[in-house]
Amino acid sequence: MTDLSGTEAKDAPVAAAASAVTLARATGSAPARWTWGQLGLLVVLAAFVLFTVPNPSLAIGMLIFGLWAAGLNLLVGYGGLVSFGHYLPFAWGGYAAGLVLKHVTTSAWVALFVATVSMAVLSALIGAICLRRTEVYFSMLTLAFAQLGFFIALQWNSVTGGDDGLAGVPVSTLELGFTTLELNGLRDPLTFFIVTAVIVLLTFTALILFTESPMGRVLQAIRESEERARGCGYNTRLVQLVTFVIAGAVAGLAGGLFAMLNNFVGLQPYWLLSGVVLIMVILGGRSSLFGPFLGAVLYLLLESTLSRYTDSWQFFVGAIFVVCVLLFPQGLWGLLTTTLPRLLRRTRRAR
Amino acid sequence: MRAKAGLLAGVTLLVAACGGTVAGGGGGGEGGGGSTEPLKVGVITGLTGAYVQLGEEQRNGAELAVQLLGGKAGDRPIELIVRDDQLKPDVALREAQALVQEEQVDFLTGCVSAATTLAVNQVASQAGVPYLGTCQTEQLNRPPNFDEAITYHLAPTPSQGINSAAPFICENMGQQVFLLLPDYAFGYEQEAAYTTAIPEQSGCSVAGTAYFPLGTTDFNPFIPTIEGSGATALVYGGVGRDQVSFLRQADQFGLTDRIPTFLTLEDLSFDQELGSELIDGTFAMAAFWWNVDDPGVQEYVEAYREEYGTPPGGYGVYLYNALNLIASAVEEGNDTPEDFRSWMEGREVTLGQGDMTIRECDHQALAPIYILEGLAADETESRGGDAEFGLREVVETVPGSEETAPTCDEVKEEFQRVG
Amino acid sequence: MDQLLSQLVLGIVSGALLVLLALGLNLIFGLLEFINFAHGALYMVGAYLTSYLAAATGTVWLALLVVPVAMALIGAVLERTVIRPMYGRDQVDALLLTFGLTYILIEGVRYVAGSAGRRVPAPELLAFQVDLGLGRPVPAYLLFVVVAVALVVGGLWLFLQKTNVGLIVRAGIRDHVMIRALGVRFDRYRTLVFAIGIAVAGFAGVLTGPITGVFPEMGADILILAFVVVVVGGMGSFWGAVVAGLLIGVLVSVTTLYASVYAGIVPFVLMILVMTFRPRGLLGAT
Repeated sequence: MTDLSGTEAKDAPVAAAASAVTLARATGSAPARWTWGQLGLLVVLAAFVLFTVPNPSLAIGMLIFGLWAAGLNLLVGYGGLVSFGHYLPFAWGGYAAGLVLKHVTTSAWVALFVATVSMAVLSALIGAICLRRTEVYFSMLTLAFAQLGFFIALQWNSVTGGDDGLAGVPVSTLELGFTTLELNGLRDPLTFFIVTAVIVLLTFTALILFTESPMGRVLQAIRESEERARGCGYNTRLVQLVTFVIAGAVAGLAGGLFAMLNNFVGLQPYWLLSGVVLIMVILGGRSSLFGPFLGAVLYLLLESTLSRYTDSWQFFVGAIFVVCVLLFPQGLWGLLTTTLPRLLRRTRRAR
Repeated sequence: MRAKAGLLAGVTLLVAACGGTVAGGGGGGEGGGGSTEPLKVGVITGLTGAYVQLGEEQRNGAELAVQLLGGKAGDRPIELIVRDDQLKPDVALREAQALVQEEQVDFLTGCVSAATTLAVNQVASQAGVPYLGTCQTEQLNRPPNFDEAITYHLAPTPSQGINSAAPFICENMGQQVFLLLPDYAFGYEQEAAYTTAIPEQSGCSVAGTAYFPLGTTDFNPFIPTIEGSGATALVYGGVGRDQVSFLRQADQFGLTDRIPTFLTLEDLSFDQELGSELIDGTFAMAAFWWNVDDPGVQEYVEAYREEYGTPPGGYGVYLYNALNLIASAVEEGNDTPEDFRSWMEGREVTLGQGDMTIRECDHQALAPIYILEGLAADETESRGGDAEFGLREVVETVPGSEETAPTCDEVKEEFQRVG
Repeated sequence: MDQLLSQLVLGIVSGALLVLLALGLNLIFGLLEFINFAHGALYMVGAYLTSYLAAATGTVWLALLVVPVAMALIGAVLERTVIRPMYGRDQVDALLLTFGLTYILIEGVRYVAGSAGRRVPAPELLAFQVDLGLGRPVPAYLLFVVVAVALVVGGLWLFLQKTNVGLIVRAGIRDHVMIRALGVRFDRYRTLVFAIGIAVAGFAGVLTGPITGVFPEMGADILILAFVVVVVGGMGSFWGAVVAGLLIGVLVSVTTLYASVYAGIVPFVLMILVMTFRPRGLLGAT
């Protein structure tokens, strides 16, 4: 085995991580192509959504849900940890922001800051327990915490509004050095959209930086083989916990934005919505950070258009999802970046 | 590089084709405008999900009203836009946003569950569009939800019904009343109302209260508690599915034979699912029953029955009333939210629920409450008036008045849970 | 005191149904190595089949025999078509697939039967009450449920312990690579075990119908509870599922008596505690 003494010790972890990532590329669950190009793609997607989706709230929602799903994919796609409770930080981030706006201040900065940080802390606590086990047990534990969170949200009626939801969240204001913007999703959706897009792009950049960083690479190495990563001297639990916290914080941010968009935080079954965001990740593609955005757009489009034509639209979503898992496990992103080019190459070669 | 250029070209084409949408849309529909412009009314109700029949009834009630009005309010054609909220507040919110931003509706109405009504009201308030809420809740009339510019409540508050029913329960059913209530806002509202109204009846008291979790279908664990409390009457505050589960299980234990049971919420569709066997001997209260001897009610019932083949349950009438109110107001030229408000405040009408007044202080509709007795299978024709649908008989009618409603001072405060 | 005893009995009844679902999940997890998210939806399908059969024949008794067989067939078909491609893939993919299957099943049932829910009549024969000397009489049907579940549990145990097929299944759960190496047609056993698991879930659906009626969402909440039972009892453990199922049923029932508000949350708190202090579950293997 590798001698972990002296100068070799410094190189060994990096080499090990690099080799793990190389192995991952070889087996097909590679990290994304065009890592930084995804940022450009996101800008294009945002513009596309801005100009084609007729319902402004839906358009903004696509960005928000996309961000939420991208955060989850840090856990699922990059970390190999399937969380069935990722609606919890989203919902509670919404409550945090909503309550701040209702009772403390209408400053969007403060509301979003509180939402993000509080969910980071909560995720640290929850992650510490959930990550003691892996694979299926981890998933079951996240589900249990989601149910616990649902129960508390339902019962703590005086704070959350319980089943009726948190209503009357005032419109927030965003103070920039040179001007103050009022973020009213209904009366001025364009401003809200642009602010959301900027926040989403900045967060997305941070997520990419994380996945490309040494810790991000170790995370992927852990996904391939936890034992080997630990054997190389990494504190695997810490890396996973940090990822869990980041995913939770991003979800909290997204939830806060959503609360500000609707001026309302509704109560829904947590396990069901956790499933929905998972569907977005899988449909869009778990091998990249941009994939989940595609998944979010796709899911919300399906939901809003299909539901006009048929009451059984969830049947079709389920069917598409099953087909996706069976035939296109790399999702829409994988389809576009791997499968189609391969097909094109094959036909070109055939000529 | 080529891919990027292609994408950019595509985006430009789309921009040219569709024009700015987020940029263009936005803002609410403020008032009507021209005298022959369509009057757009948005209806958001639960067309999928657990209570499909109630949502469909609301749609039917709305469509029937429009049809009977000849599709017009004065010179303006009525355009009814019906959307599904799946009983989820988030979806209701989204649909309300779409109706306000894309369709630019002049009025909003409809809802099956309290949570969705508050969500839609939220959007209506932000956009300045009048909203006529159609499901039972205490909270629509109060802060932080009530917006005096646009909020109206056509369904009774739970306290209206309970204040009307308490005398009947105490005089005819039993004086030690046990409350079995669902563990969410609607249950808390019931508790507040029952624990106030019941002790006001002489000799009557609440023997105990128990909450069951939302969505529960296993009521067996509660039955020993109910029996052990020494109650001589039982109030069950659940709705629909859990009502079915509860009555079956209580029947299996023989509970409903020993302790007369009162249902806070009733609807013809639930009664049909339960069947005479289970509702026989139970009592219920409702804001509407099809077999009531009142000309306004019968006009609605006959039209509904002719159009849809069955008598209406309790949820469609609110929409029928809403559309009629909107149409009358607009016909008289009140198509801005401010004019609509002055027209509505204090308005007295005779519509699908019979005589009704819209109170000024909180825009609450004051209409009759009926106490209904469940009938055995062989009584449906004789006492119920119809072999198939005569599942209940009206045994008492309490007219709508200020006496049973919360006072104008009370509704100035946010609803507080008891205890 | 007799209230408490009544609650215990009622807790055993609701626990019994959890036991059936958890056993099915455990069998499937043990041999096929994935958590079947569609278990709740299939339980619901069993209940619906019962409701239709009861409406057609006027009795529930036939359903007790026919529905499990029908569900076994459905399970076998599912396993051969959509589940088979998942072997060799991430454990997660099968979980996701069955999750998607749930949507399809629920919406499919909704499309055919409507959202409103259907009645299932309780057997006339059992429409009386039994006084067990516990203070309050218990409906005979509920006692029947406990007896029926006990028979199924006993039958399953005998099958696993005393038959050759059961022996191979147990060996396969232990080490399926070895079993394959010994020449066993493993895929047939997978189909069999999945079919049995679904049949048992369907049987639970038959039993539940007369208690709660049937409606499309009925599988959701009970599935999550069944997951808790599986985890608390120990994943893959037969008696763990039995013990944990009864325990949780009783716990919820008793909590309902004293603090009904918290009854819904007790199983999850228990799960978190078990995962923290005894991760392998009550009777699970390390």
